Amino acid sequence: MKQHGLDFIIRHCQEEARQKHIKESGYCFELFRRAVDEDEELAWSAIQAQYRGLVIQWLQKAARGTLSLDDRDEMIQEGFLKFWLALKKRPSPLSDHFDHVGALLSYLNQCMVTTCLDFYRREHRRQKLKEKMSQEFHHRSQAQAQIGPQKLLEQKLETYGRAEQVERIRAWMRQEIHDPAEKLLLQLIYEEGLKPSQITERYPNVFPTYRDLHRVRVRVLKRAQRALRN
Amino acid sequence: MDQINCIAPDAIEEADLWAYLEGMAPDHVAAHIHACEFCQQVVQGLIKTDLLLHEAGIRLACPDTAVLWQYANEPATVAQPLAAHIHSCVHCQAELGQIRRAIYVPHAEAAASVTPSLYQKGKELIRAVLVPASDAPALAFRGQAAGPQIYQAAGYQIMIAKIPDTAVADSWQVEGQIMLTEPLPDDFQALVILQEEEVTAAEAAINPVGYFALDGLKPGMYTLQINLPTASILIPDFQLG
Repeated sequence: MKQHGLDFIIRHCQEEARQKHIKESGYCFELFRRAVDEDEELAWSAIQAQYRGLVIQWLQKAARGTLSLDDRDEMIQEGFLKFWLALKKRPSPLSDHFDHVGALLSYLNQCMVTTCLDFYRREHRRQKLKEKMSQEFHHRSQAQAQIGPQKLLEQKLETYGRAEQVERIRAWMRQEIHDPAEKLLLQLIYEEGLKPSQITERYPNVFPTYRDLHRVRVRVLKRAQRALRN
Repeated sequence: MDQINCIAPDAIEEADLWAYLEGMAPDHVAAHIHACEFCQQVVQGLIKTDLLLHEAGIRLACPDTAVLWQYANEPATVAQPLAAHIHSCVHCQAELGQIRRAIYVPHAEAAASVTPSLYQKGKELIRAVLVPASDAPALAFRGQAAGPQIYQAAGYQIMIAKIPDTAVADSWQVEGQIMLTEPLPDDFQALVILQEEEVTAAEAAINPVGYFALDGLKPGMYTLQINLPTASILIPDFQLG
């Protein structure tokens, strides 16, 4: 198998993909092996081209509705990259982890499903944020309106859809907050969505007054700002 | 750009900034912020960061999908706190189920594969994961079996030994033991089915304590399907000989 040229392997893999699995001769697995174990870029390109149609079917099946072409193409690119990184993370050869190409393709299918799930998690967060923002705007006090609705809108548009910043902040929220009051505040306000009045009522020992709550909240927000700058 | 500073740094405290946004600040705080460009910028920054935290905080306790993917394939490699959350979270369970159902079925076999029929019955179909040999404990099985293979799926561990029949040439036996925490219910017919190209080659009942055996099998590539009360477990590419 190793003695064959890449074109030969690609051609025979295409034929093999049309057969039943018991007739597999190992050409497709060899294509993956060359791409992953030997870092052959052309082999990786051939894999992406060969299985693109299958990946599209998987994404359409995993999707909760019709995907736009842009979203679909973005998912395909993200999914293949994630798949590549997952395979390259393993220190030993591909054959140590996968017996045959079917196992590899199941793994790729799973990868595409997680990519789709990531997309829907982001969409869910954005939707929740939009609901929160519309509530905040509806109840915005005179004081906030003094800052200027245009400026507030600009802030909202900048904030909207900053996926990378969100991921960084999520990591920060999970790993860097150790003060008990700050952890509790993060959980109550940002995970559970409680109002200040509910928090001071339920946790008078930690937040006896609104001022105590405000103090901790501003402290957390300024720490988050510093974390984003670093 | 000229750097601006607060016009009166001692006029207000940090807590006042959020009180102002909540409409709860005293008049002198509001007056200061209205007059101070620096404090207005600070307030705008706090609003922006607050919205970011709101977005980031949704399902904060849920692990990333990469962890769910890892758990679907190698559950023992996921840290216990995360595994415990995955078990208890309905959102994570739903996503994990979707990942587990992502089995590759070659298109030449998809039309008549066992998978659609199981889906039609509404039972969850789960592909078993083979535990690496280094992680499998040494176990005794009858005959001249090589070390048994251990699969994991749907919370079950399944030990399977492939044993060449010493009496009959080119004939194999398969023995299996499903680790059960309690006996199988009497009113459920637990079965193990061995299929070759969608044709049943052999089938056997699984006894109440999880043991099964298949005899007189030809060498070849099969699909092993284990029907249990809560799930059907699939082991594709089950090679004999």
